[in-house]
Amino acid sequence: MATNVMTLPRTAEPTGLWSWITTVDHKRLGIMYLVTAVAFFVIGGIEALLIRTQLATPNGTVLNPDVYNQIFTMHGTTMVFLAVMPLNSGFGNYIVPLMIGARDMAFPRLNAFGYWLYLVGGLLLYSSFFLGGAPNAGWFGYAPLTERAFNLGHGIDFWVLSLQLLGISSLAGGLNFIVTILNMRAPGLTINRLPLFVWGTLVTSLLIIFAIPSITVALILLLFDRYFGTMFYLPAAQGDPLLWQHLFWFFGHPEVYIMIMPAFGIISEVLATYSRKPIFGYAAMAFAFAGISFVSFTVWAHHMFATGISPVADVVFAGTSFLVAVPTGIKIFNWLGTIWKGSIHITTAFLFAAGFIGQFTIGGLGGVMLATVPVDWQITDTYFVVGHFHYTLFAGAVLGLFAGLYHWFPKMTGRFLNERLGQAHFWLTMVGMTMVFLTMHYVGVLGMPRRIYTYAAGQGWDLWNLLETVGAFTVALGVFIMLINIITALRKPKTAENDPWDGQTLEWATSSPPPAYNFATMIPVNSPRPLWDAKYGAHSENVEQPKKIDLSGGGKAHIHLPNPSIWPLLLSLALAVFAVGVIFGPQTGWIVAPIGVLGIFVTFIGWLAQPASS
Amino acid sequence: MSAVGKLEQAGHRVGETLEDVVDEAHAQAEHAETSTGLDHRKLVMWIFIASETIFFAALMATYLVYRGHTPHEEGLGHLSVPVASFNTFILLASSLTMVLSLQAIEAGKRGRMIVLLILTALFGLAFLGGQAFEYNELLKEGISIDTNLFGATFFTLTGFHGTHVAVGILWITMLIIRALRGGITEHNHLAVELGGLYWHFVDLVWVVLFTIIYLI
Amino acid sequence: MEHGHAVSNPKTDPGDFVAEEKRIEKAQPNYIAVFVILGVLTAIEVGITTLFPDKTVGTVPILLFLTVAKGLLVILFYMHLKFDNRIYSIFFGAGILALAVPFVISMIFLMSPPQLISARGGTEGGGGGGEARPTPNPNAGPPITVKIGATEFQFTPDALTANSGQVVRVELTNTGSVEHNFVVADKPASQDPQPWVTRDGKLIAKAQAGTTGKGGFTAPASGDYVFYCNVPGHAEAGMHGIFSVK
Repeated sequence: MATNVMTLPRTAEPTGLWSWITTVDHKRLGIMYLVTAVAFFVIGGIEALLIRTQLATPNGTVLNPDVYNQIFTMHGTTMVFLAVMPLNSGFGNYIVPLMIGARDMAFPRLNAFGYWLYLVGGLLLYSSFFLGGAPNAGWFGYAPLTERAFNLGHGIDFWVLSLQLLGISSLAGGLNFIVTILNMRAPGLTINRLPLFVWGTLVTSLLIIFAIPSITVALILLLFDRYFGTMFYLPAAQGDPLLWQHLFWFFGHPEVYIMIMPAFGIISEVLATYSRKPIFGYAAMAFAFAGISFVSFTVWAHHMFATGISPVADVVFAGTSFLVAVPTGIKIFNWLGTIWKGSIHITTAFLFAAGFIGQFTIGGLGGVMLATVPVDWQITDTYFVVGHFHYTLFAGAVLGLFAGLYHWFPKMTGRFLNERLGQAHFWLTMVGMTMVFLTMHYVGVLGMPRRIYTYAAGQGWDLWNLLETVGAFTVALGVFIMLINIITALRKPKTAENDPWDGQTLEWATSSPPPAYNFATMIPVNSPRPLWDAKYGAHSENVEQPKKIDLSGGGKAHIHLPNPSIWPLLLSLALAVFAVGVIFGPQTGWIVAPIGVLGIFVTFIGWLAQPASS
Repeated sequence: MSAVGKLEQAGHRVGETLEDVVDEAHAQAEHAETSTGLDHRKLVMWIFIASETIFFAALMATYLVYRGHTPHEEGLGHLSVPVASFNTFILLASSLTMVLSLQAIEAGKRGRMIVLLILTALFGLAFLGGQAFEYNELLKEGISIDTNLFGATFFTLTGFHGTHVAVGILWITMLIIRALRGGITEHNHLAVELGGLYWHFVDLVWVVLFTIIYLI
Repeated sequence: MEHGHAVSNPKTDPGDFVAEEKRIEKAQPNYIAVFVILGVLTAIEVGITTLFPDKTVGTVPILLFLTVAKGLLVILFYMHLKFDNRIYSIFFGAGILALAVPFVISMIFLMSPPQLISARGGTEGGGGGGEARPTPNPNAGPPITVKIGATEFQFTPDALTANSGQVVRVELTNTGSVEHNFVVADKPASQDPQPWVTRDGKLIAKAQAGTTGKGGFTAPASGDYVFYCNVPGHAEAGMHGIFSVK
């Protein structure tokens, strides 16, 4: 019954490079996000391997200190802004409109603009390697190390301007997701019936629009310090470097949840689907999303316990940090409740989701330890912290994204990923990540500081570091197998039916891959899992008779599909020209910057003058 | 005719004048039903404004934490409260003309709306003029953005507000041009409402800045 | 594939964010009255500041209260929030009340509680602490501009003079091949003849190679102060001089 999907006869779907450059289709943009983000994920991974190779043995000589600083900065910045966040945007773009039964995002061109600006921002950041050296002050960019007096090259300028562009891109995406989710739900899909992945994307978008402005301001002040001689972060002129830390972490801590909430959502969908049960405690899960996102704005100073903020502040922020454990714990137990007594279908996606629960719990416990002020004073700035946040971001966000990949790949491409290769990927990832990140906790307690490019032998760190390096290469092998798996799958014929996993949500109610208009008919929605209800009948009482709603228009309306547009790309390029002008500063660049401003103005007018849909 | 036929037909509707197309797209969007009953664009405008509050909150926090770091006579003492008060009245008056222009078009009075929009833009320009005067006075007295923390925070905070005013003036100018070409009507005036929301928000920010910079 | 009936319109969600009324009845408040009230409140604010120029804490809450009142008038009437859908209020309220206001307040308390209160009090409690603050001197004379050349590794001239309290504008012309800057020590030379060791002082101006940087400061209390370039190694190599304040 569920596979009985009505399709409209298609006009030839546009193909060719131009159609991809001008596309505003959320599915194409989703794929573009995913492909670009995977490329950056691989680059960031290679940087991680370089770091681990350098640290494999004491007194390593693979990288010199200068290059090491650039590599670890770029590893962090890449993974946060160019890999995990865009991977979330990619899945969100592709899946959210399908899950809520919408035809596209609310603002298709804004969506395209978000993607192009992300690509342009990423390329701008990486061009720094060829234009005088990459940024080298860490992804957190602590002032005053980033000030001109201590950092003469252009690396930091590239970092500042790229992050501004990526911030605008994220804001565009966040605004779009919120309006889409609030305004474009299928009939019957009320807020309290949203699938949890949609919930995750909604709260993530809220975090984005409230957190990004803070780093925008922090970066603007830094830019002014570097170019106009202001002294916001310069203690020599009464400025205060702590201002940077406050502004940065007011963004930075919600950012952690921006990266991980969509993964929470993916895990919820995956576990429910393969356990063939509804998610356990749906309402509690939804409130936990909201709870975590609110609390995340009140904990930023736990990154600053060792900076000498007052003891009262230490206590308050420790308290709010402990509070995070409550909604997170609710989530962990509800996931376990979802699997409990389910008729479990063990697939790669399920394995990654189950692995996520165990590994992420370790990360969460490390967080509780770090939120304890006296413990934090002992182990802050050691590898314990590195181990902790990799347990939340790798074991959390990345495992969740892997689960999403195996889960939705058939929907996106019409093809299955190979299960045996997938399980090899899973086991290599599990073993590898434990070797890397669990050992980091030990070596951190043994006193190994973060951010050092080498260390002397005989401090009890050697064995652990070697293990970590071996583990890193194990993880890398897993990712390599995943890439092989994807490439071989794409060369095979389309064999996936519309609903290969016996899914519960609306994206499985259309063809694989879905047509440009997503749905021709819409099944009624009476719960968070409308497709399951349609297939097996609902358990709840107030169920209407399944009847299909025709969206194809029939006599009166035609399907409004948004027009393709080149303006989002052009506007992104104009912004990049402006950014390049600012980077190269007073002498040369400030001739280029006005050209960028003019370009922004012209492309913006062009955008406004072009009709969104015909 | 099949839906696809109509789709193709719609896709090839080329050669229409700019205003017609824009008009129709806007009219369609306004009549499209949404889950909340709210227009996409008005909703996104409000969320954007919410985001902007954090932007200005961060700048204000920066200003306030550094307030005491510069002695009075090297910083705040150089400010002129009368000039700033004059500017405040100007901006409040611009908010009034803005809201009256929306009221005018809601009542179908297009000409009145255009006059009020032009007044709003002129008030905005007057505000920027007042700010330019103020900046010039400070520069003459040796205070610029790199003189001390007062200069840095003051010029950054008021500069970003001024930039928002300038963007608002551009926005209103575009509204005026569109209105003159007949693109804004009694039943299609969301654009004025959105521009107004932005403009009032910028006014609101100034209400707060005026107090924290010049009064307390 | 032909279907006779039209698109069934998605209905608004009951029990959700209810769209309270589809078309909210356009209330027509008296905008001019609102403007008059805003003007009067502003006049009261300015009046309070003028009548009590020596800031006491007492006026601050009143001024903040008046500001909030003005802000609310703008939001509720000009921005129509009083009459509009409550989803807008939720977003805006989240922006202002849940995040922006606590953020600003906690920043102030985390970073500098005492200065806020004594900001207008003049030199007391002003940030740096312990340094020689300039006393306002009506006889200090008009602002002067000093032109200083910087190269590796010296300043020309390496001796400057000004009156205490005089505004000094600095134009630092860098004819060298690396960045240089101009820092004036806070402590007199008698106390600290080598301030670059302790990095004491204020950064006044800086200039990249081949450019001119500008800055300014008010000359401190009488005495001799060392000025130097704080780029590591430069002062040690000879980039320093004496700034005499009369």
